[in-house]
Amino acid sequence: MFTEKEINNRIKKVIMHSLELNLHEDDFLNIKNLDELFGMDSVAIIELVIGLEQEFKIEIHPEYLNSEIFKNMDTLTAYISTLMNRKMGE
Amino acid sequence: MIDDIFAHVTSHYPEHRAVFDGKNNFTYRELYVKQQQLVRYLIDELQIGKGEKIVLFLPNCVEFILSFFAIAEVGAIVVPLNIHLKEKELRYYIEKCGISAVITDSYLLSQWGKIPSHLQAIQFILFDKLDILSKNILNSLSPENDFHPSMETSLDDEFLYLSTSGSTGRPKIIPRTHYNVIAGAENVGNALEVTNQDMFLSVTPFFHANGLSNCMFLPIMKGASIFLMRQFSPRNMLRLIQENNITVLFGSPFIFSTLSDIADRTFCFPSLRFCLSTGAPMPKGLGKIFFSKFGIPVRQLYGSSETGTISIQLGDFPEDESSVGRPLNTVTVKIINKDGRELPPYEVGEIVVKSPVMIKGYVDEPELNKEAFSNGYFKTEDLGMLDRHGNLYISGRGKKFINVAGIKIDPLEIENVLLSFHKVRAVFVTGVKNRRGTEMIKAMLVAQPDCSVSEVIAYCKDKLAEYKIPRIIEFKDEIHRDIMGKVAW
Repeated sequence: MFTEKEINNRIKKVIMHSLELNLHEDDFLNIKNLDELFGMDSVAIIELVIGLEQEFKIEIHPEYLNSEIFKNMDTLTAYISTLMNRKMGE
Repeated sequence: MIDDIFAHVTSHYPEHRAVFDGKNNFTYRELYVKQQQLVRYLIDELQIGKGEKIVLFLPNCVEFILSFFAIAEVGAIVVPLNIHLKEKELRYYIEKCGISAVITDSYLLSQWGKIPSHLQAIQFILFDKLDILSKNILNSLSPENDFHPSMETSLDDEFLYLSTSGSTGRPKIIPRTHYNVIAGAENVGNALEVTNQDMFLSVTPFFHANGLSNCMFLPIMKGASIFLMRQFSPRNMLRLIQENNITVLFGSPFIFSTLSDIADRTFCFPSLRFCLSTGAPMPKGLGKIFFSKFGIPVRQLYGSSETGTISIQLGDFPEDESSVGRPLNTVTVKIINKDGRELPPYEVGEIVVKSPVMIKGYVDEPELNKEAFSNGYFKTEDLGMLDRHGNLYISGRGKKFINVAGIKIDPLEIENVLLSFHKVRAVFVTGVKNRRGTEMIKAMLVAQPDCSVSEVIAYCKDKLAEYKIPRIIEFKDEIHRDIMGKVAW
Protein backbone atom coordinates (compact mmCIF):
# COMPACT_ATOMS: atom_id res chain seq x y z
CA MET A 1 0.00 0.00 0.00
CA PHE A 2 1.55 3.32 -1.05
CA THR A 3 1.24 6.53 0.93
CA GLU A 4 0.06 9.69 -0.77
CA LYS A 5 3.58 11.08 -0.43
CA GLU A 6 5.03 8.10 -2.31
CA ILE A 7 2.37 8.38 -5.00
CA ASN A 8 3.08 12.12 -5.24
CA ASN A 9 6.80 11.48 -5.80
CA ARG A 10 6.15 8.83 -8.41
CA ILE A 11 3.76 11.17 -10.25
CA LYS A 12 6.48 13.85 -10.38
CA LYS A 13 8.89 11.35 -11.90
CA VAL A 14 6.27 10.33 -14.48
CA ILE A 15 5.64 13.96 -15.39
CA MET A 16 9.32 14.67 -15.87
CA HIS A 17 9.94 11.46 -17.83
CA SER A 18 6.78 11.32 -20.00
CA LEU A 19 6.95 14.97 -20.93
CA GLU A 20 10.78 14.99 -21.11
CA LEU A 21 10.85 18.15 -19.03
CA ASN A 22 14.07 19.79 -18.05
CA LEU A 23 13.04 20.08 -14.39
CA HIS A 24 14.05 19.09 -10.87
CA GLU A 25 11.74 17.88 -8.12
CA ASP A 26 12.22 21.20 -6.32
CA ASP A 27 10.57 22.99 -9.25
CA PHE A 28 7.27 21.49 -8.14
CA LEU A 29 7.51 23.12 -4.71
CA ASN A 30 6.85 26.70 -5.75
CA ILE A 31 3.91 26.19 -8.05
CA LYS A 32 0.18 25.90 -7.46
CA ASN A 33 -0.81 24.40 -10.79
CA LEU A 34 0.98 22.03 -13.15
CA ASP A 35 0.35 24.27 -16.16
CA GLU A 36 2.84 26.71 -14.64
CA LEU A 37 5.60 24.26 -15.51
CA PHE A 38 4.70 23.43 -19.11
CA GLY A 39 2.10 24.18 -21.78
CA MET A 40 -0.68 21.77 -20.91
CA ASP A 41 -2.02 21.09 -24.38
CA SER A 42 -3.84 17.95 -25.43
CA VAL A 43 -0.61 16.23 -26.48
CA ALA A 44 0.94 16.77 -23.05
CA ILE A 45 -2.17 15.43 -21.31
CA ILE A 46 -2.24 12.29 -23.45
CA GLU A 47 1.48 11.68 -22.79
CA LEU A 48 0.88 12.17 -19.07
CA VAL A 49 -2.09 9.80 -19.02
CA ILE A 50 -0.15 7.07 -20.83
CA GLY A 51 2.79 7.52 -18.44
CA LEU A 52 0.56 7.38 -15.35
CA GLU A 53 -1.30 4.31 -16.60
CA GLN A 54 1.95 2.49 -17.27
CA GLU A 55 3.52 3.50 -13.94
CA PHE A 56 0.56 2.70 -11.71
CA LYS A 57 -1.01 -0.09 -13.82
CA ILE A 58 -4.37 1.70 -13.82
CA GLU A 59 -6.81 2.89 -16.43
CA ILE A 60 -7.75 6.57 -16.56
CA HIS A 61 -11.18 7.06 -18.05
CA PRO A 62 -11.15 9.39 -21.10
CA GLU A 63 -13.87 11.58 -19.58
CA TYR A 64 -11.29 12.88 -17.10
CA LEU A 65 -8.97 14.21 -19.80
CA ASN A 66 -10.46 17.69 -19.66
CA SER A 67 -11.11 17.80 -15.97
CA GLU A 68 -9.49 19.76 -13.18
CA ILE A 69 -7.81 16.58 -11.93
CA PHE A 70 -4.74 17.35 -14.00
CA LYS A 71 -4.57 20.93 -12.78
CA ASN A 72 -2.29 20.39 -9.80
CA MET A 73 -0.37 17.77 -7.86
CA ASP A 74 -2.92 17.57 -5.02
CA THR A 75 -5.89 16.73 -7.21
CA LEU A 76 -3.85 14.40 -9.38
CA THR A 77 -2.38 12.55 -6.38
CA ALA A 78 -5.82 12.16 -4.82
CA TYR A 79 -7.25 10.82 -8.08
CA ILE A 80 -4.44 8.30 -8.61
CA SER A 81 -4.73 7.19 -4.97
CA THR A 82 -8.44 6.57 -5.45
CA LEU A 83 -7.83 4.49 -8.56
CA MET A 84 -5.14 2.45 -6.84
CA ASN A 85 -7.30 1.80 -3.80
CA ARG A 86 -10.15 0.76 -6.04
CA LYS A 87 -7.86 -1.60 -7.88
CA MET A 88 -6.59 -3.13 -4.64
CA GLY A 89 -10.14 -3.61 -3.46
CA GLU A 90 -10.99 -5.69 -6.57
CA MET B 1 -20.90 24.07 -55.99
CA ILE B 2 -20.24 22.62 -52.54
CA ASP B 3 -23.79 23.15 -51.29
CA ASP B 4 -25.13 21.53 -54.48
CA ILE B 5 -23.04 18.46 -53.72
CA PHE B 6 -24.53 18.30 -50.24
CA ALA B 7 -28.07 18.58 -51.63
CA HIS B 8 -27.30 15.99 -54.32
CA VAL B 9 -25.94 13.46 -51.81
CA THR B 10 -28.93 14.04 -49.53
CA SER B 11 -31.36 13.34 -52.37
CA HIS B 12 -29.54 10.07 -53.12
CA TYR B 13 -29.08 8.82 -49.55
CA PRO B 14 -31.67 10.65 -47.41
CA GLU B 15 -32.01 8.00 -44.70
CA HIS B 16 -28.35 7.01 -44.63
CA ARG B 17 -26.54 7.84 -41.40
CA ALA B 18 -24.43 10.94 -42.03
CA VAL B 19 -22.98 11.99 -38.72
CA PHE B 20 -22.96 10.66 -35.19
CA ASP B 21 -20.93 11.19 -32.07
CA GLY B 22 -22.10 8.54 -29.65
CA LYS B 23 -25.01 10.66 -28.40
CA ASN B 24 -26.58 12.31 -31.44
CA ASN B 25 -27.31 10.72 -34.80
CA PHE B 26 -28.22 12.53 -37.99
CA THR B 27 -29.27 11.09 -41.30
CA TYR B 28 -28.49 13.07 -44.43
CA ARG B 29 -32.08 14.32 -44.56
CA GLU B 30 -31.97 15.49 -40.95
CA LEU B 31 -28.66 17.21 -41.54
CA TYR B 32 -30.03 18.90 -44.62
CA VAL B 33 -33.07 20.23 -42.76
CA LYS B 34 -30.85 21.74 -40.08
CA GLN B 35 -28.55 23.22 -42.68
CA GLN B 36 -31.46 24.91 -44.41
CA GLN B 37 -32.62 26.40 -41.10
CA LEU B 38 -29.16 27.84 -40.62
CA VAL B 39 -29.09 29.23 -44.17
CA ARG B 40 -32.37 31.05 -43.53
CA TYR B 41 -31.04 32.42 -40.27
CA LEU B 42 -27.81 33.68 -41.84
CA ILE B 43 -29.67 35.45 -44.65
CA ASP B 44 -32.90 36.60 -43.02
CA GLU B 45 -31.65 37.50 -39.54
CA LEU B 46 -28.02 38.43 -40.11
CA GLN B 47 -28.06 39.55 -43.77
CA ILE B 48 -24.88 37.60 -44.45
CA GLY B 49 -23.99 38.19 -48.08
CA LYS B 50 -21.82 36.78 -50.82
CA GLY B 51 -18.09 36.99 -50.25
CA GLU B 52 -18.29 37.79 -46.54
CA LYS B 53 -15.70 36.02 -44.42
CA ILE B 54 -17.16 33.92 -41.62
CA VAL B 55 -14.96 32.34 -38.96
CA LEU B 56 -15.85 28.81 -37.80
CA PHE B 57 -14.49 28.50 -34.27
CA LEU B 58 -15.70 25.04 -33.31
CA PRO B 59 -14.30 21.58 -32.60
CA ASN B 60 -15.26 18.52 -34.64
CA CYS B 61 -19.03 18.62 -34.23
CA VAL B 62 -22.28 18.61 -36.16
CA GLU B 63 -22.46 22.39 -35.82
CA PHE B 64 -19.22 22.74 -37.77
CA ILE B 65 -20.55 20.62 -40.62
CA LEU B 66 -23.89 22.45 -40.75
CA SER B 67 -22.17 25.83 -40.72
CA PHE B 68 -19.74 24.80 -43.46
CA PHE B 69 -22.50 23.85 -45.88
CA ALA B 70 -24.73 26.77 -44.87
CA ILE B 71 -21.97 29.27 -45.55
CA ALA B 72 -21.37 27.59 -48.93
CA GLU B 73 -25.03 28.03 -49.85
CA VAL B 74 -25.04 31.67 -48.81
CA GLY B 75 -22.01 32.32 -51.04
CA ALA B 76 -19.80 33.48 -48.17
CA ILE B 77 -16.27 32.32 -47.30
CA VAL B 78 -15.46 29.89 -44.47
CA VAL B 79 -12.46 30.70 -42.26
CA PRO B 80 -11.91 27.75 -39.89
CA LEU B 81 -9.64 28.64 -36.96
CA ASN B 82 -7.92 26.56 -34.31
CA ILE B 83 -10.06 26.68 -31.16
CA HIS B 84 -6.97 26.93 -28.97
CA LEU B 85 -5.94 30.32 -30.36
CA LYS B 86 -5.90 33.25 -27.96
CA GLU B 87 -7.19 36.81 -28.38
CA LYS B 88 -3.96 38.28 -29.76
CA GLU B 89 -3.67 35.50 -32.35
CA LEU B 90 -7.35 35.82 -33.31
CA ARG B 91 -7.02 39.59 -33.85
CA TYR B 92 -4.45 38.90 -36.53
CA TYR B 93 -6.96 36.84 -38.53
CA ILE B 94 -9.71 39.41 -38.12
CA GLU B 95 -7.50 42.05 -39.71
CA LYS B 96 -5.84 39.83 -42.28
CA CYS B 97 -9.06 38.25 -43.56
CA GLY B 98 -11.59 41.02 -42.99
CA ILE B 99 -13.88 38.90 -40.83
CA SER B 100 -17.52 39.96 -40.56
CA ALA B 101 -18.93 37.14 -38.40
CA VAL B 102 -17.86 34.33 -36.09
CA ILE B 103 -19.80 31.11 -35.53
CA THR B 104 -18.85 29.51 -32.24
CA ASP B 105 -20.30 28.13 -28.99
CA SER B 106 -20.71 29.99 -25.69
CA TYR B 107 -18.02 28.01 -23.91
CA LEU B 108 -15.43 29.16 -26.48
CA LEU B 109 -16.35 32.84 -26.41
CA SER B 110 -13.87 33.67 -23.64
CA GLN B 111 -10.99 32.84 -26.04
CA TRP B 112 -11.96 36.01 -27.94
CA GLY B 113 -11.32 38.19 -24.91
CA LYS B 114 -12.34 41.79 -25.54
CA ILE B 115 -12.83 41.40 -29.29
CA PRO B 116 -16.65 41.10 -29.16
CA SER B 117 -16.91 44.36 -27.23
CA HIS B 118 -14.14 46.23 -29.07
CA LEU B 119 -15.10 45.22 -32.60
CA GLN B 120 -18.87 45.44 -32.54
CA ALA B 121 -19.15 45.31 -36.30
CA ILE B 122 -18.29 41.61 -36.08
CA GLN B 123 -21.35 39.44 -35.45
CA PHE B 124 -20.84 36.63 -32.97
CA ILE B 125 -23.22 33.74 -33.62
CA LEU B 126 -23.41 31.38 -30.66
CA PHE B 127 -24.64 28.12 -32.14
CA ASP B 128 -25.80 26.71 -28.81
CA LYS B 129 -28.17 29.69 -28.48
CA LEU B 130 -29.73 29.10 -31.88
CA ASP B 131 -31.48 25.91 -30.83
CA ILE B 132 -31.23 24.60 -34.39
CA LEU B 133 -30.13 21.12 -33.41
CA SER B 134 -33.07 20.45 -31.14
CA LYS B 135 -35.87 21.94 -33.26
CA ASN B 136 -37.92 19.49 -35.24
CA ILE B 137 -39.46 21.66 -37.91
CA LEU B 138 -39.40 22.08 -41.63
CA ASN B 139 -39.95 18.36 -42.19
CA SER B 140 -41.40 19.08 -45.56
CA LEU B 141 -38.08 20.31 -46.80
CA SER B 142 -36.27 18.13 -49.27
CA PRO B 143 -33.56 18.90 -51.81
CA GLU B 144 -36.20 18.78 -54.56
CA ASN B 145 -38.35 21.60 -53.24
CA ASP B 146 -36.23 23.39 -50.70
CA PHE B 147 -35.35 26.98 -50.13
CA HIS B 148 -32.51 28.20 -52.34
CA PRO B 149 -31.33 31.77 -52.01
CA SER B 150 -30.57 33.40 -55.31
CA MET B 151 -26.82 33.57 -54.82
CA GLU B 152 -24.89 33.27 -58.00
CA THR B 153 -21.76 31.38 -57.19
CA SER B 154 -19.32 29.76 -59.53
CA LEU B 155 -16.72 27.08 -59.10
CA ASP B 156 -14.01 29.72 -59.27
CA ASP B 157 -15.42 31.73 -56.38
CA GLU B 158 -13.34 31.70 -53.23
CA PHE B 159 -14.97 29.59 -50.54
CA LEU B 160 -12.40 28.57 -47.95
CA TYR B 161 -9.60 30.49 -46.23
CA LEU B 162 -7.08 28.18 -44.58
CA SER B 163 -4.25 29.27 -42.36
CA THR B 164 -0.73 27.92 -42.69
CA SER B 165 2.39 28.62 -40.69
CA GLY B 166 4.79 30.99 -42.31
CA SER B 167 8.46 31.39 -41.62
CA THR B 168 8.06 35.12 -41.09
CA GLY B 169 6.37 35.05 -37.72
CA ARG B 170 2.91 35.48 -39.22
CA PRO B 171 0.57 32.84 -40.66
CA LYS B 172 -0.34 33.00 -44.35
CA ILE B 173 -3.87 32.72 -45.66
CA ILE B 174 -4.62 30.17 -48.36
CA PRO B 175 -7.74 30.93 -50.42
CA ARG B 176 -9.37 27.84 -51.90
CA THR B 177 -12.18 28.05 -54.43
CA HIS B 178 -15.19 25.72 -54.58
CA TYR B 179 -13.35 23.93 -57.37
CA ASN B 180 -10.16 23.48 -55.28
CA VAL B 181 -12.11 22.03 -52.35
CA ILE B 182 -14.12 19.62 -54.50
CA ALA B 183 -11.07 18.52 -56.50
CA GLY B 184 -9.10 17.88 -53.31
CA ALA B 185 -11.70 15.57 -51.83
CA GLU B 186 -12.32 13.92 -55.22
CA ASN B 187 -8.60 13.14 -55.58
CA VAL B 188 -8.34 11.37 -52.26
CA GLY B 189 -11.77 9.78 -52.54
CA ASN B 190 -10.87 8.18 -55.86
CA ALA B 191 -7.49 6.98 -54.60
CA LEU B 192 -9.08 5.31 -51.55
CA GLU B 193 -12.20 4.21 -53.47
CA VAL B 194 -14.46 5.76 -50.86
CA THR B 195 -18.14 4.78 -51.12
CA ASN B 196 -21.28 5.45 -49.12
CA GLN B 197 -20.57 2.25 -47.20
CA ASP B 198 -17.51 3.77 -45.56
CA MET B 199 -17.40 4.87 -41.94
CA PHE B 200 -14.84 7.56 -41.11
CA LEU B 201 -13.59 8.15 -37.57
CA SER B 202 -12.95 11.88 -37.73
CA VAL B 203 -10.56 13.01 -35.01
CA THR B 204 -8.21 15.18 -37.09
CA PRO B 205 -9.43 18.71 -36.38
CA PHE B 206 -11.75 20.15 -39.00
CA PHE B 207 -10.02 23.53 -38.63
CA HIS B 208 -6.97 22.05 -40.38
CA ALA B 209 -6.75 21.47 -44.14
CA ASN B 210 -6.46 17.68 -43.91
CA GLY B 211 -9.20 17.28 -41.30
CA LEU B 212 -11.62 19.49 -43.18
CA SER B 213 -11.03 18.05 -46.62
CA ASN B 214 -10.38 14.37 -45.92
CA CYS B 215 -12.26 13.73 -42.67
CA MET B 216 -15.32 15.95 -43.15
CA PHE B 217 -15.99 17.01 -46.73
CA LEU B 218 -14.80 13.82 -48.47
CA PRO B 219 -17.08 11.40 -46.55
CA ILE B 220 -20.08 13.73 -46.98
CA MET B 221 -19.36 14.10 -50.69
CA LYS B 222 -19.49 10.32 -51.09
CA GLY B 223 -22.52 9.79 -48.86
CA ALA B 224 -20.42 7.96 -46.30
CA SER B 225 -20.80 8.18 -42.51
CA ILE B 226 -18.75 10.16 -40.02
CA PHE B 227 -18.21 9.28 -36.38
CA LEU B 228 -17.13 12.51 -34.73
CA MET B 229 -14.36 12.29 -32.18
CA ARG B 230 -14.14 15.70 -30.56
CA GLN B 231 -11.05 14.90 -28.54
CA PHE B 232 -8.45 12.22 -29.02
CA SER B 233 -7.92 9.51 -26.42
CA PRO B 234 -6.07 6.37 -27.57
CA ARG B 235 -8.11 4.00 -25.42
CA ASN B 236 -11.37 5.50 -26.59
CA MET B 237 -10.27 5.33 -30.19
CA LEU B 238 -9.61 1.60 -30.05
CA ARG B 239 -13.05 1.03 -28.58
CA LEU B 240 -14.76 3.23 -31.18
CA ILE B 241 -13.04 1.52 -34.11
CA GLN B 242 -14.27 -1.83 -32.84
CA GLU B 243 -17.83 -0.82 -31.91
CA ASN B 244 -18.58 1.21 -35.01
CA ASN B 245 -16.88 -0.84 -37.73
CA ILE B 246 -14.71 2.06 -38.76
CA THR B 247 -13.31 1.67 -42.27
CA VAL B 248 -11.14 4.79 -42.68
CA LEU B 249 -8.93 6.44 -40.04
CA PHE B 250 -6.83 9.52 -40.68
CA GLY B 251 -4.35 10.38 -37.94
CA SER B 252 -0.91 11.77 -37.21
CA PRO B 253 2.22 9.81 -36.24
CA PHE B 254 1.48 10.87 -32.64
CA ILE B 255 -1.89 9.13 -32.78
CA PHE B 256 -0.51 5.90 -34.24
CA SER B 257 2.40 5.96 -31.80
CA THR B 258 0.14 6.30 -28.73
CA LEU B 259 -2.22 3.61 -30.03
CA SER B 260 0.78 1.29 -30.30
CA ASP B 261 1.87 2.30 -26.79
CA ILE B 262 -1.36 1.42 -25.04
CA ALA B 263 -2.13 -1.74 -26.99
CA ASP B 264 -1.26 -4.45 -24.50
CA ARG B 265 -2.24 -7.21 -26.93
CA THR B 266 -2.83 -7.64 -30.66
CA PHE B 267 -6.08 -6.32 -32.08
CA CYS B 268 -8.13 -7.32 -35.10
CA PHE B 269 -10.22 -4.72 -36.89
CA PRO B 270 -11.65 -6.48 -39.95
CA SER B 271 -13.61 -3.42 -41.04
CA LEU B 272 -10.63 -1.06 -41.10
CA ARG B 273 -9.55 -0.54 -44.70
CA PHE B 274 -7.14 2.35 -44.25
CA CYS B 275 -5.01 3.92 -41.53
CA LEU B 276 -3.51 7.09 -43.02
CA SER B 277 -0.82 9.15 -41.38
CA THR B 278 -0.62 12.84 -42.19
CA GLY B 279 0.88 16.03 -40.89
CA ALA B 280 4.40 14.83 -40.16
CA PRO B 281 6.82 12.14 -41.33
CA MET B 282 6.35 8.75 -39.68
CA PRO B 283 9.24 8.02 -37.31
CA LYS B 284 11.36 5.08 -38.40
CA GLY B 285 10.05 1.78 -37.14
CA LEU B 286 6.60 3.01 -36.09
CA GLY B 287 4.92 1.44 -39.12
CA LYS B 288 6.31 -1.99 -38.27
CA ILE B 289 5.35 -1.72 -34.59
CA PHE B 290 1.81 -0.67 -35.48
CA PHE B 291 1.46 -3.47 -37.99
CA SER B 292 2.63 -6.03 -35.44
CA LYS B 293 -0.11 -4.96 -33.00
CA PHE B 294 -3.00 -4.23 -35.35
CA GLY B 295 -2.26 -6.15 -38.56
CA ILE B 296 -2.91 -3.15 -40.73
CA PRO B 297 -0.29 -0.89 -42.33
CA VAL B 298 -0.19 2.84 -41.68
CA ARG B 299 -0.11 4.59 -45.06
CA GLN B 300 1.73 7.88 -45.29
CA LEU B 301 -0.04 10.74 -46.95
CA TYR B 302 1.99 13.73 -48.13
CA GLY B 303 0.46 17.05 -48.94
CA SER B 304 0.34 20.73 -48.21
CA SER B 305 -2.36 23.29 -47.53
CA GLU B 306 -1.30 25.03 -50.76
CA THR B 307 -1.79 21.98 -52.98
CA GLY B 308 -3.95 19.51 -51.11
CA THR B 309 -2.92 15.87 -50.93
CA ILE B 310 0.04 15.17 -53.21
CA SER B 311 0.62 11.45 -52.74
CA ILE B 312 -0.50 8.45 -50.69
CA GLN B 313 1.50 5.32 -50.03
CA LEU B 314 -0.94 2.75 -51.41
CA GLY B 315 1.25 -0.13 -52.57
CA ASP B 316 1.88 -3.38 -50.75
CA PHE B 317 3.03 -2.83 -47.20
CA PRO B 318 6.24 -0.99 -47.96
CA GLU B 319 9.58 -2.26 -46.85
CA ASP B 320 10.95 1.25 -47.23
CA GLU B 321 8.97 3.41 -44.82
CA SER B 322 10.37 6.65 -46.16
CA SER B 323 8.34 6.55 -49.38
CA VAL B 324 5.21 8.66 -49.40
CA GLY B 325 3.84 6.82 -52.40
CA ARG B 326 3.02 7.89 -55.93
CA PRO B 327 1.41 11.23 -56.75
CA LEU B 328 -2.36 11.05 -57.11
CA ASN B 329 -3.82 10.85 -60.63
CA THR B 330 -4.39 14.55 -61.20
CA VAL B 331 -1.20 15.67 -59.43
CA THR B 332 2.12 16.28 -61.14
CA VAL B 333 5.35 16.20 -59.17
CA LYS B 334 8.76 17.24 -60.44
CA ILE B 335 12.12 17.31 -58.75
CA ILE B 336 14.16 20.36 -59.73
CA ASN B 337 17.63 21.68 -59.00
CA LYS B 338 18.53 25.23 -57.92
CA ASP B 339 18.38 26.42 -61.53
CA GLY B 340 14.89 25.07 -62.01
CA ARG B 341 16.00 22.18 -64.22
CA GLU B 342 14.07 18.95 -63.82
CA LEU B 343 16.14 16.13 -62.37
CA PRO B 344 16.02 12.45 -63.36
CA PRO B 345 14.99 9.62 -60.99
CA TYR B 346 17.09 9.05 -57.90
CA GLU B 347 18.53 12.57 -57.90
CA VAL B 348 17.59 14.71 -54.93
CA GLY B 349 16.23 18.19 -55.46
CA GLU B 350 13.30 20.43 -54.53
CA ILE B 351 9.82 18.96 -54.85
CA VAL B 352 7.49 21.13 -56.95
CA VAL B 353 3.83 20.29 -57.45
CA LYS B 354 0.98 21.05 -59.82
CA SER B 355 -2.52 20.08 -58.73
CA PRO B 356 -6.15 21.07 -59.38
CA VAL B 357 -6.33 21.88 -55.68
CA MET B 358 -3.43 24.29 -55.94
CA ILE B 359 -4.15 27.90 -55.10
CA LYS B 360 -2.98 30.78 -57.27
CA GLY B 361 -1.35 32.56 -54.36
CA TYR B 362 -1.63 33.55 -50.69
CA VAL B 363 -3.90 36.40 -49.70
CA ASP B 364 -2.06 39.74 -49.88
CA GLU B 365 1.45 38.32 -50.22
CA PRO B 366 2.64 39.40 -53.70
CA GLU B 367 6.36 39.00 -53.04
CA LEU B 368 5.94 35.62 -51.39
CA ASN B 369 3.70 34.46 -54.23
CA LYS B 370 6.38 35.25 -56.83
CA GLU B 371 8.79 33.00 -54.95
CA ALA B 372 6.40 30.18 -54.08
CA PHE B 373 4.36 29.85 -57.29
CA SER B 374 6.34 29.58 -60.49
CA ASN B 375 5.46 28.32 -64.00
CA GLY B 376 2.24 26.78 -62.74
CA TYR B 377 3.95 24.84 -59.96
CA PHE B 378 4.10 25.31 -56.20
CA LYS B 379 7.57 25.14 -54.70
CA THR B 380 7.22 23.08 -51.52
CA GLU B 381 10.79 23.77 -50.31
CA ASP B 382 10.89 20.07 -49.38
CA LEU B 383 13.76 17.99 -50.72
CA GLY B 384 13.19 14.59 -52.23
CA MET B 385 13.47 12.29 -55.18
CA LEU B 386 11.37 10.04 -57.38
CA ASP B 387 12.33 6.45 -58.10
CA ARG B 388 11.85 4.88 -61.51
CA HIS B 389 8.37 3.66 -60.53
CA GLY B 390 7.28 7.17 -59.66
CA ASN B 391 7.37 6.72 -55.86
CA LEU B 392 8.22 9.89 -53.99
CA TYR B 393 10.75 10.00 -51.16
CA ILE B 394 11.17 12.97 -48.83
CA SER B 395 14.73 13.54 -47.68
CA GLY B 396 14.48 16.93 -46.02
CA ARG B 397 12.15 19.73 -45.11
CA GLY B 398 13.21 23.15 -46.29
CA LYS B 399 10.74 25.23 -44.29
CA LYS B 400 11.76 26.05 -40.79
CA PHE B 401 8.80 25.11 -38.70
CA ILE B 402 8.37 22.91 -35.67
CA ASN B 403 5.94 20.04 -36.13
CA VAL B 404 4.06 19.25 -32.92
CA ALA B 405 1.84 16.20 -33.43
CA GLY B 406 1.13 17.25 -37.01
CA ILE B 407 0.59 20.94 -36.30
CA LYS B 408 3.22 23.18 -37.92
CA ILE B 409 4.42 26.01 -35.76
CA ASP B 410 6.56 28.94 -36.79
CA PRO B 411 9.40 29.29 -34.24
CA LEU B 412 9.71 32.96 -35.12
CA GLU B 413 6.18 33.59 -33.87
CA ILE B 414 7.10 32.13 -30.49
CA GLU B 415 10.42 33.99 -30.39
CA ASN B 416 8.62 37.28 -31.02
CA VAL B 417 6.28 36.64 -28.11
CA LEU B 418 9.10 35.65 -25.77
CA LEU B 419 11.15 38.69 -26.74
CA SER B 420 8.23 40.94 -25.87
CA PHE B 421 8.46 39.74 -22.23
CA HIS B 422 10.36 42.44 -20.37
CA LYS B 423 12.58 39.97 -18.50
CA VAL B 424 13.85 38.25 -21.67
CA ARG B 425 16.84 39.68 -23.54
CA ALA B 426 17.54 37.05 -26.19
CA VAL B 427 15.82 33.90 -27.35
CA PHE B 428 16.16 30.93 -29.65
CA VAL B 429 13.25 28.56 -30.30
CA THR B 430 13.67 25.24 -32.03
CA GLY B 431 12.12 21.79 -32.31
CA VAL B 432 13.71 18.82 -30.59
CA LYS B 433 12.82 15.19 -31.10
CA ASN B 434 11.11 13.41 -28.23
CA ARG B 435 11.29 9.70 -27.51
CA ARG B 436 8.48 9.05 -30.00
CA GLY B 437 10.54 10.62 -32.77
CA THR B 438 8.10 13.52 -33.05
CA GLU B 439 8.89 17.11 -32.13
CA MET B 440 8.43 19.32 -29.12
CA ILE B 441 9.24 22.98 -28.66
CA LYS B 442 12.39 24.07 -26.86
CA ALA B 443 13.19 27.67 -25.98
CA MET B 444 16.59 28.90 -24.89
CA LEU B 445 16.46 32.25 -23.12
CA VAL B 446 18.86 34.85 -21.94
CA ALA B 447 16.87 36.54 -19.21
CA GLN B 448 17.09 38.52 -16.01
CA PRO B 449 18.30 36.46 -13.04
CA ASP B 450 14.89 36.59 -11.36
CA CYS B 451 13.05 35.22 -14.39
CA SER B 452 11.48 31.80 -13.76
CA VAL B 453 10.02 29.10 -16.01
CA SER B 454 6.54 29.62 -14.54
CA GLU B 455 6.66 33.37 -15.27
CA VAL B 456 7.63 32.74 -18.87
CA ILE B 457 4.87 30.18 -19.29
CA ALA B 458 2.30 32.46 -17.64
CA TYR B 459 3.29 35.24 -20.07
CA CYS B 460 3.01 32.90 -23.06
CA LYS B 461 -0.36 31.52 -21.98
CA ASP B 462 -1.93 34.92 -22.43
CA LYS B 463 -0.63 35.32 -25.97
CA LEU B 464 -0.19 31.88 -27.46
CA ALA B 465 -2.32 28.79 -27.91
CA GLU B 466 -1.24 26.03 -25.49
CA TYR B 467 0.30 23.90 -28.21
CA LYS B 468 2.73 26.74 -29.05
CA ILE B 469 4.05 27.13 -25.51
CA PRO B 470 7.59 25.70 -25.23
CA ARG B 471 7.76 22.31 -23.51
CA ILE B 472 11.39 22.85 -22.50
CA ILE B 473 12.65 26.21 -21.32
CA GLU B 474 16.36 26.61 -20.67
CA PHE B 475 18.12 29.68 -19.34
CA LYS B 476 21.48 30.50 -20.86
CA ASP B 477 24.11 33.14 -20.18
CA GLU B 478 24.25 33.87 -23.89
CA ILE B 479 23.08 32.53 -27.21
CA HIS B 480 25.91 32.08 -29.70
CA ARG B 481 25.11 32.62 -33.36
CA ASP B 482 27.67 31.86 -36.06
CA ILE B 483 28.33 34.03 -39.09
CA MET B 484 25.33 32.44 -40.85
CA GLY B 485 23.06 33.34 -37.97
CA LYS B 486 22.78 29.72 -36.88
CA VAL B 487 22.66 29.02 -33.18
CA ALA B 488 25.10 26.53 -31.70
CA TRP B 489 23.05 24.75 -29.04
